[in-house]
Amino acid sequence: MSAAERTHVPAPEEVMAYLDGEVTAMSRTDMEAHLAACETCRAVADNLRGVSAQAQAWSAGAAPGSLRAPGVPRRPRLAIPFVSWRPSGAALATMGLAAVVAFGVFVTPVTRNRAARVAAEQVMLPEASASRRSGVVGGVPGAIAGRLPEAASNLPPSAPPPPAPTLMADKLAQAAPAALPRGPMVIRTATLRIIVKEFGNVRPTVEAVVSQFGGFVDRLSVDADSANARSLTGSLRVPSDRIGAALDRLRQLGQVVEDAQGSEDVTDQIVDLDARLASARATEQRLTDLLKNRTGRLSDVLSVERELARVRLDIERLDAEKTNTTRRVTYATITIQISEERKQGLETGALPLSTRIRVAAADGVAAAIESLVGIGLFILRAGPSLLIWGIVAIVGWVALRRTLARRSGTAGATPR
Amino acid sequence: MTTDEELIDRVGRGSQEAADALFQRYRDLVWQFFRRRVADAAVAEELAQDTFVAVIEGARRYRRGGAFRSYLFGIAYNVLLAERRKRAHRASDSLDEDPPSPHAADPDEVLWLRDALATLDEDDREILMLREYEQLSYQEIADVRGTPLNTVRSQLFRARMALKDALEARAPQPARRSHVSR
Repeated sequence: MSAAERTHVPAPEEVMAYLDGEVTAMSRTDMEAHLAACETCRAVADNLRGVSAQAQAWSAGAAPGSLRAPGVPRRPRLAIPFVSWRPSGAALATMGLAAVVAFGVFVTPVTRNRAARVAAEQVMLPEASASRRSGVVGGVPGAIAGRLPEAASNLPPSAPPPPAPTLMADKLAQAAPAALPRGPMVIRTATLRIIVKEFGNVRPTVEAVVSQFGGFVDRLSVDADSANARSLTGSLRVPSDRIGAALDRLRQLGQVVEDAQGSEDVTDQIVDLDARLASARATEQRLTDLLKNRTGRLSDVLSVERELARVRLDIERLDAEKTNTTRRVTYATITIQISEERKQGLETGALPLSTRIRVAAADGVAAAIESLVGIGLFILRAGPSLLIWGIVAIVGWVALRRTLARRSGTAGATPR
Repeated sequence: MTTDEELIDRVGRGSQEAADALFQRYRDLVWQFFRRRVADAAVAEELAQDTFVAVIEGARRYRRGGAFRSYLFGIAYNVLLAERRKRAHRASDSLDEDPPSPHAADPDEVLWLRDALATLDEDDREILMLREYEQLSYQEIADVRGTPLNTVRSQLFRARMALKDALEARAPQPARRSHVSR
C-alpha cells in the first residue's frame, strides 16, 4: 500500500468493507459516488474483486453421501416431584417383604449356578480330567491335531479340511463387481442358534451345506469344554441369492432357538464411491495431461507430481473400499451357533442329594479357610498398633502399682 | 422459509425433522469447510460428522440472539483446532501438510491458488477463507476467532493484498490475463 493510499479518505479497508456489504463510515451512496470519481479507490476495488473472484475457483465439491444427519438425542425424562411421606408400619413391612423377595430372586440363583457348575464337573469327571480343552477348526488346520484329540475323534475322520485362506481369497476374488445383482445392493446377514441331539455329524453337515450352496466357511470353531458340553460357532459365507435355501437346510439340524436376519442397503454408498472414483480418475487424467503439456518451474512440476501421487493413492483406497463392499453384497454372512442338548439338562435339572452334600462341604471348608485368612489379615493389620498400646498399658500399670505401693508404705510408717 | 434459529430451537426440543432440515442446509458448507483445510477426505468427513453431532447435541444450550452460522462455524472451527492440536502431538501426522485435492474444472488454476494461499500467514489465511468460502460477516469472523472487529478488518485486507501478490507471482500468463480482464 502506498503512502498516498494510506492517507487517502476513505481508507482502502473502508472500500473493502463497502464491497463486502459491511457497515462503513461513509454512506453507501457517498461511497459509490466516490468510487466513480476516484481512480485510486477504483483500482483498490478492482484488485479486491479480482482476488475474490479468483478465490472462488477452488470448489471443494459436494459432501459425500456417507455424511449422514445425526440423530437427535432423546430428552431426559421429567423428574418425579419430591413427595414427602412418613414411613408407616405397613410400608416398612412391604419394604421388608420386597427385600426378602429380591434376595430370593437374585441371590439364590447365584448359589444354585455355582452348585450346578461344581456338579457338572463332578458328573463329567471321567472325561473332564483328560478332555477339558477347546480348539479352533478352520483357519489353522494343523492346530487342532495336537490340541484337540478327543474332540477331533468325535468328528468323522473323513471330514474334509476347512478351506485354506488362499482358497477363500480365490472365492472372494471370483466375486467380482461384475457379479453384482442389479437394482438395490444389500448386505444380508443372518444369525442362527440351534440345539442338536447328535453333535457328531454337525460339522461335516454344516460344511456340506455351505459347499452345496457355493459358499465357504469364513470361521469355524468347536468348543469341547466338558463342563459346558460341546458347541460349534462359526461364520459362513453363502451367495446372497441363496441364503434363504441355505438357512432352511441349516434349520433342519435341530431345534432352532434363535433365528434372526438383517440387511443393510449400501446402494447409495456404492453410487457415491463410483462418483468419487470417477472424479478422482478425471483429476488424475487432468494432472497427467498437465505434466505432459506444461513446462513450468521445477517447483510447480514437483507440486503437480506430488498432487498426482496423492490422487492415485485416493483412487487405490476408494477402489479397495468399493471392492470390499461389493464382496459383502455378493456373499451373505450367516453367524451360526450349534450346542449340544445335554447342556440344557445340566443347567436346569435338580441336583442329587450326594452332590448337594459335597457342595455344602466344599462351601464349609472354603468358609473356614476364608475366616482363618481373615483373622491372619486382622492380626497383620492391627498387630503393630496393639503392640505399641500394650507396651504403653504395661508401663502405665507398673507405674500405677509402684505409686500405690509407695503411698501404702508411707501410710504404714506414719504413727497413729 | 423457516430460519436457522427457529430450526435449531426446534432441534433443542427434540425434533428430528428440524435436525434433518438443518443438516441438509449446511452439509455441503461444513464439508467444504473441512475439505479445504484437511488433506485426507476421510478425516474431513469425520470432522464434519463430529461438528453436526456437536451442534445437534448442544442445541439445547444454543443461546438465542446470535446468528446460527457463526455458532455452527464456531463449532466447526473448534473441532478443527482440536484435531490440529491432537495431531501436533504426533510428529509425522500433520493434518494439512498435504493440501486437499482440487475439484474445480481447472485444476492448474486451483493449484496456483492453493499454493498462493499456503504462502499467507496462518491467521490471515484463516480469516480470508472464512470470508471468501464460508461467507461470514466481519462480526461473525470476530466471534468465531475471538478477535476484535477492527483486527479482523485489517487482517482481511492484508490477506487479500498478500494473496493478490502471491497469485500474480505464481500464476501462469493466461491466468493473469483473465484476471485483468475481469
